[in-house]
Amino acid sequence: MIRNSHSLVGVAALTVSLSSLMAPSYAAQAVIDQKGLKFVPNTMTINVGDTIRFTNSDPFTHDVTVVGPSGTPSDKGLQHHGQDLTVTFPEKGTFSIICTFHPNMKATVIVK
Amino acid sequence: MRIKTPVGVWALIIPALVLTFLFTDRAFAVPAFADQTGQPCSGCHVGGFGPQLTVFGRQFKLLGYTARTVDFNVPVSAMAIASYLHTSADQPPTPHYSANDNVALDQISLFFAGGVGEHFGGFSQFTYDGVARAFSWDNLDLRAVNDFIVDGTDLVAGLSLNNNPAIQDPWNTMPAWGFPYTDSALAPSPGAATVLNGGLAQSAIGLTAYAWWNSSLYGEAGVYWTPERGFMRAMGADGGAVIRGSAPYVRVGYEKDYDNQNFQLGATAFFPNLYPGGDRTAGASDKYQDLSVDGSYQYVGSGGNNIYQVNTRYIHEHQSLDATFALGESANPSDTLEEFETDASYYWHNEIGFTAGYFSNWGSTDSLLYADNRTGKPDSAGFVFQLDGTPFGSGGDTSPLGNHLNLRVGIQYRHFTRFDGGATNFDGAGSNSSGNDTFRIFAWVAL
Repeated sequence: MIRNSHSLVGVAALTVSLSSLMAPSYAAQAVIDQKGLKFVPNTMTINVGDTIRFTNSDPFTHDVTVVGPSGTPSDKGLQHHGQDLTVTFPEKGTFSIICTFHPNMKATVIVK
Repeated sequence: MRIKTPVGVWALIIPALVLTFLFTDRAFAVPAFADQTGQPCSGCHVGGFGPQLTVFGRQFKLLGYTARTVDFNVPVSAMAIASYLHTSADQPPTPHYSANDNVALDQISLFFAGGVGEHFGGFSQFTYDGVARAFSWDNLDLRAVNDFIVDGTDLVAGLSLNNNPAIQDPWNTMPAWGFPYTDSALAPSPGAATVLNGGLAQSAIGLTAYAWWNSSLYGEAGVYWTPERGFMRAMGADGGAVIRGSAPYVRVGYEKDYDNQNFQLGATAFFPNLYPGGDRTAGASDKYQDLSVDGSYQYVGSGGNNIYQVNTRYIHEHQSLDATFALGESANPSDTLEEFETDASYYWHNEIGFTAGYFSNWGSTDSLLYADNRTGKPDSAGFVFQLDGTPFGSGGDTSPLGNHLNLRVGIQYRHFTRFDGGATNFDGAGSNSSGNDTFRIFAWVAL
């Protein structure tokens, strides 16, 4: 019984190791909505290479701008009602998300 | 014959007014709107104060003032403007004031403004005129709106009930919200103006329907009419021209927004038939055709640190003066009047601004219609310059009371190159246009 268990554990470990070597790694995608003149949620932690899809449930036009750890802003363009925008975060750091049209709309994205 | 206001329209007006009074937020450069939206005044206004709108300000207006991030806020705001005015030459004194160098409380206004739910909103303004020393209703814009996604594209559709043709307009090119944004009733002003340029302000009611597609294409159509005299008297706005029947109003516009700039082109048509001064004794009315084209450009840069804006409009008015001619008050059965205005402004950090404007009107020679003008012409032209500072207003952080104390101070200089038909001796009594040049210092507070 004990011998069988050891064998099963060995097979399982080998399977997991092979799987991790052979399977491609996919970056995750998170969603931040712009609703009620707010980013929802307004804080988020993601991994390097992950993407965030910004949706716009507001009837207003938004203008997502990502401010990097160095303070450099990157304007991602206008989003009208119902339009989506996907932003990839390839570097670690803390990023501020603002809407240039609505000065009090702010969010923070932490990339680990 | 004056057209009576339909009962159904009052059924719309009265509940809308009541709802506005009960539930809406504060007013213009309007602190209550800032409370309601959770945004600083600069979110909606260039210069952090006053009527010049940003992209969001226009959308907020077209979406019926409904954007809200708080459950409730007090729906009342107030505004006051006071100024010192000097004219190059003494003017015929206004009651209670001197012929020159006057300090006046120009106006105190109370606003009821804000949104109720997702579909209703507006503002109504009531003003005490410190020069005329009288109360009256002022601007009114009540809206019902809905927002749709059609084939993946945004479509806003709405109704506006208002009291001044183009007061409901989202751009700052039309006279109702055009530069200069503050003026003194003590300052001399040209005698001729088109109907679209304030001729029916607060003396008409309009109901218009509009659609705003993809935040770019705008179309609006509706009618204006003169309310019953008792209502106008109660509103402190009795007198002036009376619309015969109803007057069609049509507006089209196109706006293109980019990340840090936008431009707009538009055209307006307005066709009022008017009894001059409400006088029906001629058995006819004057038929006006106002056709206007306008455009604007706005550059907001990054972070709103440097904002540039240009507004331009041209109005052509054809006047078939059937009533005025029959009454012996015009020499011609028909005249034309043209108006051109343009202004360009720069604002630094939404706090310090400079605006230069040019205005000109010209038209048919009519020795009776312009009997006070030596030349019989309506022509006036000149420049307006304004330097202003807004220490409180660009955002909640700059004011000790946040959004609830906004202050703009400024100096304004107006120079006339022509006035009521000429540059020199325009009235036949030796007056020159430059004698009407004005220097004004003003303070403008919104609470």
